Amino acid sequence: MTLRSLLGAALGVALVAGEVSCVAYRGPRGVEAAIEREIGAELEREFGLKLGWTSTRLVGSLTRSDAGDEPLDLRDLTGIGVAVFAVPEGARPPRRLDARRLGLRGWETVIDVRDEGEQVLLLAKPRGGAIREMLAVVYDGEEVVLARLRGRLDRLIGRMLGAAEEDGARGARRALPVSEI
Amino acid sequence: MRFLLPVILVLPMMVTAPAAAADTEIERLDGFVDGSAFCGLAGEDDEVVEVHLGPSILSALARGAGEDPDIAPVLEGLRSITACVVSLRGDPARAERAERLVRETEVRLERGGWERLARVRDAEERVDVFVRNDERIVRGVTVLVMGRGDGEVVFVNLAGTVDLARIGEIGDTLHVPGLDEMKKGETGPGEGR
Repeated sequence: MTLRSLLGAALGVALVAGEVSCVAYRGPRGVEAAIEREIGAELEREFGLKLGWTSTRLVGSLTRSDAGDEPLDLRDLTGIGVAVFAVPEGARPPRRLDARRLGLRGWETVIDVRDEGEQVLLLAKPRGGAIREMLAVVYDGEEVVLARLRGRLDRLIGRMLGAAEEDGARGARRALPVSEI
Repeated sequence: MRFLLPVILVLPMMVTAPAAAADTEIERLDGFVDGSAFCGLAGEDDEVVEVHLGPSILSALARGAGEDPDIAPVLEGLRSITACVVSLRGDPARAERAERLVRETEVRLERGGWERLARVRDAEERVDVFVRNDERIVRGVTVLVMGRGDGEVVFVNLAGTVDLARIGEIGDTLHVPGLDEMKKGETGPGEGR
C-alpha cells in the first residue's frame, strides 16, 4: 500500500469521524506563487491533503503495523500537509530555489541539497525550545512537493543529513516521512 | 491613521527581526567563519549539501536529545554549525578554484588567530582542521577537506563552546558532513604532513 492511498484511506476515515481535513491544500500561503515567479510558469496541482492530529495518528498506526513494507516513521507526527504540483512544459528551471525568496517568515533553512536539477530544502520553525514544525520543498524539474510536518521532528534533521550525505537530493527526499507520495 | 502608520511600519520589522538578529549573533561569534564561497563553487548540476544549524535549532536539538543525554550538553554549547559539501565532478577548472579557495581560507584563518590542529595529506584527500581558542575554551572549529579522487570539497564550521573530545558524537548523531574527517585528524597536530 502506498502512502498516498493510505493517506486517502485515513482521510476517508477522518471525514467519517468528523475531523476537518482539507483536500485542497496548496502549502503555506505564498510559496506556490513564489515558486511560480521563480520558474515563470503556473504550477498545476496534482495532489493536496492536510491531516489533523487524529488522522495523522491513524496513518501513523497503520504504517506502524505495516512497517515491514513502508520505510516510514510517522509515529512522531501530529499533523501533515502535502501538496504536489506538476511543473508545466516550458517552465524556466531555476538555478536553485532560494528559501529567502519563498515568502516564508519565521522559518530557518536547515538543509539545502541540490543534485542534477533536483533540490530539497528543509526549513524548520523552532518554537519554545523545540522543533515542532518543518517544511520540505522538493523540486525536480517535473514536480514540486510541499510537505508541512508537525510533531516531534528533531530526529528528522539527523536522518535527512545522513541520507543527503549518502545519496544527495534523492537521499534527502527519501528520508522525508512522506516521500512515498 | 496617524497612529496606525508607525504600527504598520514597525510590525514587519518585528516579524523579521528575530531571524536577522540570529544571523548577526552568529556572524559576531569568535569561532564563526563564513563558508558561503565554498557553496558558490557549485555549478548548475553539481551535488551540493548546505547545512545551517543556528542557535535556536541547536538548542531545540539539545532538548530533543533525551534518548542520548550525553550529546545534549555538547549541542547546548554550540551556537552555529554550518557546512557546505560540493562535488566538483572532476571539473579541473573548478577543482583548481576550490584548491585556491582552500589555500586562501587557510591563510585567512592563520592570520585571524586560528591554530592548525591537524593536517592530513594522502593520495585521496587533504584535510585541515583549525581551532579558535579563547584561554582554555575552544570557540570554533573549521574543517577543510579537498578530495583529489572524488573531486569533493568540504567546508565545516562549528562556533560556540566546542568540546573537541565529543565532536565525533555530533557527527555521528547529526550526520554533519565532514566531521568524520576530525577522526582522521586525531593523530595530533602536524602529523601526516
